[in-house]
Amino acid sequence: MLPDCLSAEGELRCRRLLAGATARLRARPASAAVLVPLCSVRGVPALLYTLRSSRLTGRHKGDVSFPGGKCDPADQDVVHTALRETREELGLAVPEEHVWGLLRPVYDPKKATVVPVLAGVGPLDPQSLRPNSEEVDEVFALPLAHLLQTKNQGYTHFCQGGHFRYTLPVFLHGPHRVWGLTAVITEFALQLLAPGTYQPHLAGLSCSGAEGLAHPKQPLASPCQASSTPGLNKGL
Amino acid sequence: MKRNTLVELLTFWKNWHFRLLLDLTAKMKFCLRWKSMGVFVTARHQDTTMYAVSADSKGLDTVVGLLADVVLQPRLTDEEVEMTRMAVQFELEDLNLRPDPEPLLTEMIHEAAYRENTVGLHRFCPTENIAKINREVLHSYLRNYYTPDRMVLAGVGVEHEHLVDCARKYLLGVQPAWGSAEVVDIDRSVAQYTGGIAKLERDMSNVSLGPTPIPELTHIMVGLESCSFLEEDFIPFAVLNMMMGGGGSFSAGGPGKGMFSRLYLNVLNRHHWMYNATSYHHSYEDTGLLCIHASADPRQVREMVEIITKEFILMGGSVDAVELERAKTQLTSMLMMNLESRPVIFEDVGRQVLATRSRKLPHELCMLIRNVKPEDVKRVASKMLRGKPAVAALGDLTDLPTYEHIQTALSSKDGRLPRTYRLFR
Repeated sequence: MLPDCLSAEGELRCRRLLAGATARLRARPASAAVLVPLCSVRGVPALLYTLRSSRLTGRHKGDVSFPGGKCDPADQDVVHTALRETREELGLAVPEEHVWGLLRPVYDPKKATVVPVLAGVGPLDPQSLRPNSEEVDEVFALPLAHLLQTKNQGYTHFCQGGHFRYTLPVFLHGPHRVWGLTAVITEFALQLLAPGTYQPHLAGLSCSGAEGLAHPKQPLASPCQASSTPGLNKGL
Repeated sequence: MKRNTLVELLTFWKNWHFRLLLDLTAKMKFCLRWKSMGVFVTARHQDTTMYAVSADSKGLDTVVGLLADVVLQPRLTDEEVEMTRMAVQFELEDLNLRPDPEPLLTEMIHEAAYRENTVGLHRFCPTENIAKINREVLHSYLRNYYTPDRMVLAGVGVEHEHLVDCARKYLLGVQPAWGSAEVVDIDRSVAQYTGGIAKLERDMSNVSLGPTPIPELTHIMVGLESCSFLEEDFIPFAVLNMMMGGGGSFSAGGPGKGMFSRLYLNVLNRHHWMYNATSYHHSYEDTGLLCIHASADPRQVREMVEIITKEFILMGGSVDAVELERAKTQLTSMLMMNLESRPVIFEDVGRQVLATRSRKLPHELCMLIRNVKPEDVKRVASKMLRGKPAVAALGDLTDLPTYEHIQTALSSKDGRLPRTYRLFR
């Protein structure tokens, strides 16, 4: 069921799928970049997550996220930002050749772009990492098999001003709940790595420039499709 | 007008059903046999709606038939909808006029904590939406949410087999009034705690409805995410809530009131200007919220917030054994006392079966409460303090600290707000 994404053919397929978007988006300026580390923990493919320190202030303290951060003027491109931040936060140095490509950029509520960079980091033991305790409280990995089980997937509809606006996926029953933009990026990664086995939940999130994936499972509906009949009406 | 209306529809529902039930009672009153009819109750909580009837046990058949009729065959005539609209409007005005801010603050803290999703959506219908709700809207809501897998029929003091027979007779295979045509697409959203702040500036200087003036107060509520009632950590959170306790400062006290709870001892007894400090714990199927409500004069809002944040930080500290035992005993006795009343048993059975398909009996719950140790309480409090706060504030808010300051205070060691320097005193 789960295609062997850690094999050489799997990696080649993903690289090829992402090549077009990577070439287009790599040099484009963005506010922030995160690294989506695809690692293998005890032979099982998994994604690596960080738990942000609760000592940080701001809207995302204590949340689960991928390693990454704001783009520095000194960075050459978004890939460089993601790798640098990963090195600073986790002490994990990922060489640039291990980067497979760029996933679709996401937009946070302040309209800042966050570009996810998918990289294969190979076999890894999350316990062996020494994260920077000022920024990261905990590092953990969620196996792809766990993320692909429907009982661990959920979604939340969000409304604004009395109208349905968008749906975000959420991944449950791990050591910590994965929600928000991190869940959206996870969804993109799952769509790429395990096509056909994952039903995406994301809807209604306006994103200009929706390139990045060859063929998403369901076309994203724009919020402009709001119809005027009252009652239950989702923008899916 | 979309999803948001759905939760507000429940307001309509409650008012509407009361009416229909009264109609039927009027008819029933003429049948002397049914003098034994007792109480009709419809209750609407954040995530469930309850229809309850109490009657003599001989009338079980009629009662189940009545309930089935009420739930599945609602006669939504236009005049009823019109009257309900007026009732809802009245309820809204009443909410804004009354001096007790509890319902409004509860709604605001949910709005702040679960920004724009599931439990954070409005529970009370906002005025602009009242006119938009009509028969089709109600029917579409019913079609989507009143499905067999979301309903529970619970009976107290009746024989199981008898109840099952009545259910089979009246509920099995009955076509509901709204039709069951197309495939339903229900909203199974998971409640997402976001944290945040909800403020409502209001002049509270003249809220008293009678001749005696009520002092002008600013009310704030600070909450943190706890856990759902399905998790094991729920019991330690309940004990923690009881340990914090609290209430109004004009309480007469007495046994069982919680005079030795932390909010009374540390807050209300020491600071005479605090009018109220109470802790609440709301818990749902996928999330929970523990909050403390405090009120004081508008000029002392900053000190009040600091006291509350300090109390939150102390929750993560050590727990005295005597204090814990007292909280556990109080929780057990309150649980048993509440379970003596019928409506509470209904709600308990219904909710547990809806969520977990089984019911924990009271003595099992008491056993779980007895097993709570100080380390459990400390652990759940620390877990809670890692999250983002939710703040709701009502009244004169000129001195209210910013959300970032409150967040910093809750992550600091001692709970103090960051110092602000004012140039002009």
